[in-house]
Amino acid sequence: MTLLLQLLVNGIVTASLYSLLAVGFGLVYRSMRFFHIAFGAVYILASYAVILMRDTFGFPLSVSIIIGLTIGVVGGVLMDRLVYLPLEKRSAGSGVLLVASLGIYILFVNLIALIFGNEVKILSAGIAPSYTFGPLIISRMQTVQCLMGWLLVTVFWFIIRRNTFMKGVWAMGEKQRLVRVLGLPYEFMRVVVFALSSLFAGAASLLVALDVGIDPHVGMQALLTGAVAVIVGGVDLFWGWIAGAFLLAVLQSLAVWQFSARWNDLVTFGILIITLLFRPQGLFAPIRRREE
Amino acid sequence: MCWVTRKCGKFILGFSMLSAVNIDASYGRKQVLFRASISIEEQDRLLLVGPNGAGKSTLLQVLVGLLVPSVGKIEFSGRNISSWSTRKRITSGIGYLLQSENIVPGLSVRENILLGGYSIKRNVLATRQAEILDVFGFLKDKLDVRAGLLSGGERQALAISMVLMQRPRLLLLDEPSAGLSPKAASSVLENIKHAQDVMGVKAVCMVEHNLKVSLKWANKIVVLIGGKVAHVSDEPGIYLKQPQKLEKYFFKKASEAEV
Repeated sequence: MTLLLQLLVNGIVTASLYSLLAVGFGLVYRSMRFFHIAFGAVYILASYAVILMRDTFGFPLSVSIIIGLTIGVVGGVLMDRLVYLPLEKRSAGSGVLLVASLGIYILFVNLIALIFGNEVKILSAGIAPSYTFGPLIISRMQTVQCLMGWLLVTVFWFIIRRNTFMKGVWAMGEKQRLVRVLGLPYEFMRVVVFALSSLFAGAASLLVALDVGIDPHVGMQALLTGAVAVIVGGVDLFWGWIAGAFLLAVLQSLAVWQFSARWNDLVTFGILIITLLFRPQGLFAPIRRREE
Repeated sequence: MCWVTRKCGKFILGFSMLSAVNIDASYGRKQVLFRASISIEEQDRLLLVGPNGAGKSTLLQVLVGLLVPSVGKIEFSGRNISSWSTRKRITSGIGYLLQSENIVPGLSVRENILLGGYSIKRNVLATRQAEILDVFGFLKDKLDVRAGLLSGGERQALAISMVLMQRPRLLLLDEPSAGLSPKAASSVLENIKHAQDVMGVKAVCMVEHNLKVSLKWANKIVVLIGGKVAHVSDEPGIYLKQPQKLEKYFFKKASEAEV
């Protein structure tokens, strides 16, 4: 029972990280309607930027984190301005964008591996202190992950509920032309989408990297986790993304309990396949009229 | 009465609210508009007709900046807007109603209306919304309903009210009554008339297939065939009595159409 409770707590902590990934990926996927593979590149970019700032330029960690997140955001926005937007202006389909995105991802992974090496880089050395609540143990880093993750997601949720601009961003995914002819600033909205998406990717990446370190190949894992959470929960529902992330995290930690951590991917993609077979619109999405 | 000559749009006499001169436009390799010219003046209720594929919607898209013409010049209120973005054209007073997909079904009616008023100032937002709801009274009870659940006529009314939130001086409408019952269609036209009377809309240009209703409404008619302006008239009423006069344009080929 204690073990189950502990795994549930771990699940909630992991869910906070997965939610960040889901929101980051989902923002682009929902409002641009294309699969932003380079999200994985932004993910590693932010952490490696922090490592570069701290180890090479000798900034303190806090300053490095701010610079690293900024570099991630700028990188994400530039990907759109330099690659996606020009392609879209020449009316490229989503298949072309997908391949372009994959190209950016591979380029970044290899560049970073070339500069920093393939091995795991550690951001914080030593064993982190932990707190015990009765039988439950939670490390300090886990507490930070959990608090930061849920805080960011909650703040963002309040913003999209109240803000007309963000409603416009939401509308952009289904009715791109309409958003343009209503006089909304389409290109600026794209900038905001990519900036926010990259911010969420960077935050998730740093929260993980500060705990267990980072290597150049974790981006794909992060991307797929976010994507599965969004698709499982339902692309059209913001809280569905979060619920998807939560479901994924809890089921994964149950899999760790019953089998071993090696079967995590099986759980992730098992859920994805089952969802796509039986409820392709997502587990939590309502059924819509066909006219929509 | 100043009007554009069909073959050479360079001779625009007088001052018009919006004029597009010698527009060539194409989708990829397929050219749709061939030297099409159109001029809209204040107080115009212009009806743009023509067979399917004549380029009516394309012309509206060019006017609003969704499609960039390969040749041609567009002026609005005396300014050359050819290189302006869609957003700039919309915020400077052109309202455009899309033929379909003109509301956001996932958002509530209220959110849709607010989206329409995105680029107007915050302090007039509430007044505008109240004005709109005065005209489209039935939307009042449905403000919190998801827009996707509205009926066809209600959707179209919502779409029009979203466009009107910006108080456009010129309204471009792409088949506002497409797919509606005759009753709903005439109520949509009523709303447009009303908008022109009380909402500060100076001129309307409408693409419409439902000629029975729209000919009564219009005071100017432009026939577009094969991407060319085939006929312009200030007396659409004539065609109401003698529809065969209008129909003859629909059965002619583009090459013969330049009467």
